[in-house]
Formats: sequence, structure tokens, C-alpha cells
Amino acid sequence: MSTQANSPTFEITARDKFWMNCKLYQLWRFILLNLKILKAVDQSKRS
Amino acid sequence: MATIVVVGAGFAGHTAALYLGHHLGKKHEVVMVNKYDYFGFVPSWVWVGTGRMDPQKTIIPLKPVYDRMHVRFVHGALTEIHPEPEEQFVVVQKADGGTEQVAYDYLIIATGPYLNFDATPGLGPHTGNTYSICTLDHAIQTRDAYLELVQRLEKGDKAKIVIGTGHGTATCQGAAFEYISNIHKDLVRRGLRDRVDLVFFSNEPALGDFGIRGVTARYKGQLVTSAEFVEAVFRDFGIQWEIGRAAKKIEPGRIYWEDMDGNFGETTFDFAMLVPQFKGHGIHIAVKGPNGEDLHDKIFNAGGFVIVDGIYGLPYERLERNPDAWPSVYQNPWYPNIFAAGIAFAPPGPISVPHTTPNGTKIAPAPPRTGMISGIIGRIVALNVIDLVKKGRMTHDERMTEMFAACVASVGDSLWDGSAVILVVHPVVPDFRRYPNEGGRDLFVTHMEMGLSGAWMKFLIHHTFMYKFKGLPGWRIIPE
Repeated sequence: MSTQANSPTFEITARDKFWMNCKLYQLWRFILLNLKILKAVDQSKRS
Repeated sequence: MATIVVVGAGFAGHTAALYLGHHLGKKHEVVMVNKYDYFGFVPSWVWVGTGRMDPQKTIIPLKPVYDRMHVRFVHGALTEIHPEPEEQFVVVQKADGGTEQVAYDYLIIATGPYLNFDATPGLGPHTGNTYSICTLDHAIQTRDAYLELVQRLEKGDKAKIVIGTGHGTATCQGAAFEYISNIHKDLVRRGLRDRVDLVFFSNEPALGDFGIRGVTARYKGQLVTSAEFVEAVFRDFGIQWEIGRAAKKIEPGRIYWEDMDGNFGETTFDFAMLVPQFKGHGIHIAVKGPNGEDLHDKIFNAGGFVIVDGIYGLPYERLERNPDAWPSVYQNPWYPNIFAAGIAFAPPGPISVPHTTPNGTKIAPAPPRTGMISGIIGRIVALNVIDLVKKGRMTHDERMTEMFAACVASVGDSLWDGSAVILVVHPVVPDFRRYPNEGGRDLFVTHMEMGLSGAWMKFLIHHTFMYKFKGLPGWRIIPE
């Protein structure tokens, strides 16, 4: 079924876009994401 | 001395060969059979397909890597398996024209997907109707066609570009999502975006399904589904979408489709990249007994995928409630010395909710087993074979209902103003027993976000994985 929803429940706002390209904030997200992924890899069944 | 034969040097097979070579290569024989003499880093072919990356930067010649890792490389394609205990060998049609019999004690089949363009009449680069980025040659062909279209756009033409899936049971919607996002970004960069209608055409029941039944994760403190998230991204990019559609036939500039309600219709295009249905290479591989008897059904299912230790034949309603139906050691039940890794193994069923139209057409995204999932399975299988050779018993197992995976879908390649959607899921296949929430996943680990950090992540993944797959010092500390 083709759908182009008329009433979006979630939108990317101008404020979101600012944070998505804010270098300092994104550096923080990058570090955090890498730590999260490494932790998840470590906690998975990898042995 | 044991001989281990790995067939297929993609994410799963190449990962397995690296581990096997490292642990067994000096005392045992490890053989890699692959029809190409290079490893291709598939995730970066979306950038090749938009002309943003030199194809040479996405490949690694295999022979030097395997020489260093004590793996014998046979350049050719697997044509026959003789699996009975009295004569265990494979027959390889070599690239130089001859054939070679390779005896094995353990066989790992990691042959990846067979691109079944024929399932949709008129689909595929060989017809000249649609393009693909599923092989390096296809990605280069797609790039050339896309850049030709760009030249026409620069002269003032307008165009409609359709990207998505070319069959009701196709998979790899994530690659199509990434490719359309990159096309969008490239056209914006060239100042041509307003001359193009971009349409995402997919068999997914909902946007952001990605063949894994979608993702629900916390975003800015609230629970958001991948459907809402991808819809917001497409809305922001001005990309239209047509989902829940099975492409039935392609003609020049036209997709004939059927939707989930059984309605038929057409979508026109000037340029289209559509991912075909995947089958297993088993459809072209003969399996013979000592007296020439046909043993194909013991190793491969009807789709050409390798039967392993999953529980097959469960209806979807039971499969979705039974995480143990997914295989854990990827071992063939008839021949315990045969394993499968990556796309080659037969999943017990779909992850996404399957649908059959009133006309009997199946619209059900197949489960993705690419990238990180392939690499993890390749490692598990290799470590178990190493265990069997050294200790006589296996000590590793991981089902897709226990597996963690991260997926980064880039939006452009710039490290300054690029972006990417990052999906982190645990487990890949929802486990409603362990996580009795709406998505069946760990809401602490499962994560979804978009931003410049994703572009950095994608850049990091490309370079660290190319390093890892060269088997250079420290390759093992880089996770799959």
C-alpha cells in the first residue's frame, strides 16, 4: 500500500537540524555512540 | 592435519578465513574458493553508485592477504559438493578454465546471494531497464548511468528517479534507503535537486521496516518507531514513497506492481535502481553421492540456501514467539562438518510480518543477513571449526535472536556537512519472550539517531574494516 501520511507524528525540526550538524555536540554523540556499540559488542555473546 | 574449505570471500567467508588462517593456517590446510580474486566492501558501493568513491578504494586483492594468513586461494566457482563420508570433496570451476577437486574435512559455505533478476521480468542491468548496486560492476554501471542523467539535468531536463526493491520478497531495503539518501544529497550539492522527483519504492509493509520488522527506540526521551523516523527524514528530504508494493514486471521507464490489497498499478521512471530477489547459490550447485545420487535436498532448500540447525516450517505466528527456532551454530543437520555463514544460510522464516495479496502474491521482505550479521556468523562458524579441530567440540553459538547489530546509512560522504542514520538493534530478530515490549528488543541498547556523527561513523567503518579485512596487525580487535 502506498502511503503518504497526512498527519506526521514525528518531524525533524529546525532545532533538530541545528544539533544534527553542531560539530561539538556531534563529537560528543560520536564518542558516546562508539562507547555504546563497544559495550554492546562486549556484552553480546562474543567470546 | 585437517583441511578446511571456505567457499565465498564476502563478509562472512572472508572473516571466517581470517580466523581460520590465524588459528590453524600453519598446522592445517585452510582453502578459500572464491569466484572473484578480490574482496569487495559492499557498504561503500552506494558511494561508488553516485560517483563519490573510486571503486578501487572498495576492494582488496585476496591473494596477498591469504598468503600472509596461511590460506590457500583457489580462484573459481563451486559447482559440486560430494558430502558423503567416504568421499568428501568439492569441485571448483577455476577462473583459468580448468576444474579442481578439493578434499575437505570441514566445509563452510558462505557464497552470498544469487541475484535473481529473472524473478521479475525486465528487471536488472542486463535488460537496460533498471540498475543495481549489488555488485561492483553493477555499481560502476549505475554510476555511469547516473552521471549521464546528471549531465542531462544540468542542461535543464527534469527526471524522476525511483530507488527501492524489485520484487515482493526482496531484501536490502537499507541499501536502497542509503542510496536514495545519497542521490538526494548529491543532487542538492550539484544544485539540481529541484529538477528531480525522488521516489522510494519498496515491498516493506511500513517505512523503516528494513526486513527486521522495524525498530522502536527512544529518541529525545520518547519512543519513536523507525517508520515515523524514516517518514520524517523523507519528508525533510522531499522524497516520496510507495511501500507495500511488489514489482511484477519492468518495461523501459515503467514498473508494473501489485500492492498489499491486490490492486495493480504502474510507476514511471527515468532512472531506477531496484534490488532484486535474493536466492542462494545452491540452486546452481550439484550435491552428489558416491554413486552419483542426488543429495541436493540434504544441504540446500528450494531457494538454494543451506539448511542449518534452525527449526524450519513453523507458521509465522509460532516463529515470532520462538526465538530458539533461529539457528545457533549454523551447522547442517545431515552433514555435521558442513556449515553455512552469512546470506548463504537458510533462515527459518521472515522477520517482518509476511503478507499474501488476494491474488496470491507474496509481499514479504526477506531477512537481512548482510554486513555485521554476516561477519559475526562467519566468526562463530570459524571459531567452532577451530574448536572441532583442536578440541573436538564446539563452544560458540549465537542466534540472530541474541545478536547485536549496528547499521549506518549515510546521507552523503562529507565529513563536514554529511549525515547518516544510525540504527543500533539488539537483538536483530525480535525476542518477545525476553523483551516483552512492542518491538521485542532491548530498549536500553536499541537506538536510532541521525546526524554528522553518523557520517564520521561511516567513514570510520569504511577505513577500519578495510584495514581489518587486509588482515593487518591488530585486525582481531576490530569487532565484526
